[in-house]
Amino acid sequence: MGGWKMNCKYVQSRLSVYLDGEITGSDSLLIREHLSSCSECQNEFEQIKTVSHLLTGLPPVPEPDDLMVERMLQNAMPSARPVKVPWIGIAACSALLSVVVYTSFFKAPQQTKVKDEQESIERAITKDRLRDAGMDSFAGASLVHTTSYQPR
Amino acid sequence: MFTLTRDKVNRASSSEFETLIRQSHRQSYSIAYRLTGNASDAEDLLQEATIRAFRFFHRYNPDMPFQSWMYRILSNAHVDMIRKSSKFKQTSIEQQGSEGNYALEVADSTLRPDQELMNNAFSDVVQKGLVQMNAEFRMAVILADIEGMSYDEVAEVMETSVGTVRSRIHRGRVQLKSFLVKHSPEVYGRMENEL
Repeated sequence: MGGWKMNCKYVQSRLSVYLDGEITGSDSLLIREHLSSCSECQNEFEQIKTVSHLLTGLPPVPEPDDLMVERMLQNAMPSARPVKVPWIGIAACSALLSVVVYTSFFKAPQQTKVKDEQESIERAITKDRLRDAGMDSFAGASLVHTTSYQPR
Repeated sequence: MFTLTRDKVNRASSSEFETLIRQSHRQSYSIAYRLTGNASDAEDLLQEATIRAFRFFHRYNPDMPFQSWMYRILSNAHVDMIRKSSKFKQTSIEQQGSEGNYALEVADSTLRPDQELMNNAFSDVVQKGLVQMNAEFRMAVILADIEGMSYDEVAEVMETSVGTVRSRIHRGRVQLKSFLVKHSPEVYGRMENEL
């Protein structure tokens, strides 16, 4: 190492590692010594330092929109995200459907039959009452006809 | 409630992946933005990286910080995007025409006296300079100067040697310096004096 001077090309290629402290102690001292006596390399070093500082001092990038990460995840893993099947809901719907079908196709006809029977009985009762009252059971008209002329 | 995922292991991995992505999203987006220079391309790049990350999540080694792993995927995806897309066709700063012209239009270097506006405009020039750099140099400079990573960390992310990282960082800075001197000489000179 004694007496050996670094040439400018070598020094300039090492300016970034020197700036970042990623260099061994002995090399660092040699580069510092060279820079103190070489204006060209010193100027180059200052420019490298300026660029590094400009990069470090860049403002933060604009914030991404709030839903971006959701889009990312949905597009990356659509099949992996669990599909939650509401079994209880399906069971409830099935039960409700069964009730509807039962009432529509089974219970309702029975109720209609009962209703028809009741109506039939009521009509019969009405006929009897009308007959008892001397009225035509169909039209409700009286069976006793009155006349306008005198009996003989 | 029951789920239709095949087994509990897959469900746990997906949940873990989702958590890690959410935690790293902001930083990953920042890198993507620095690599591409605009929000739209940054989102496209990050989306591609996220898809790849999920696809290969089973290979992720927790010994490496997940953020670093995402940076690696972003870097590789970015290189692939450059190769495929003519939009990202690079004009290397080192490849100058006879008049030293560059294909990319840059911000007007005639800036207003207002310091804040000047700084903002200059930031735009720096960002444009980043986009113009060689992709590998750009990634190395972003990780070292903007993210503050050590050379060893950068080497791990970029899956290369520390020696290669040293070279990429230095050459990246030199490229950017050339770009700034060329396209914003007055402001660059002023910033250099202030720093």
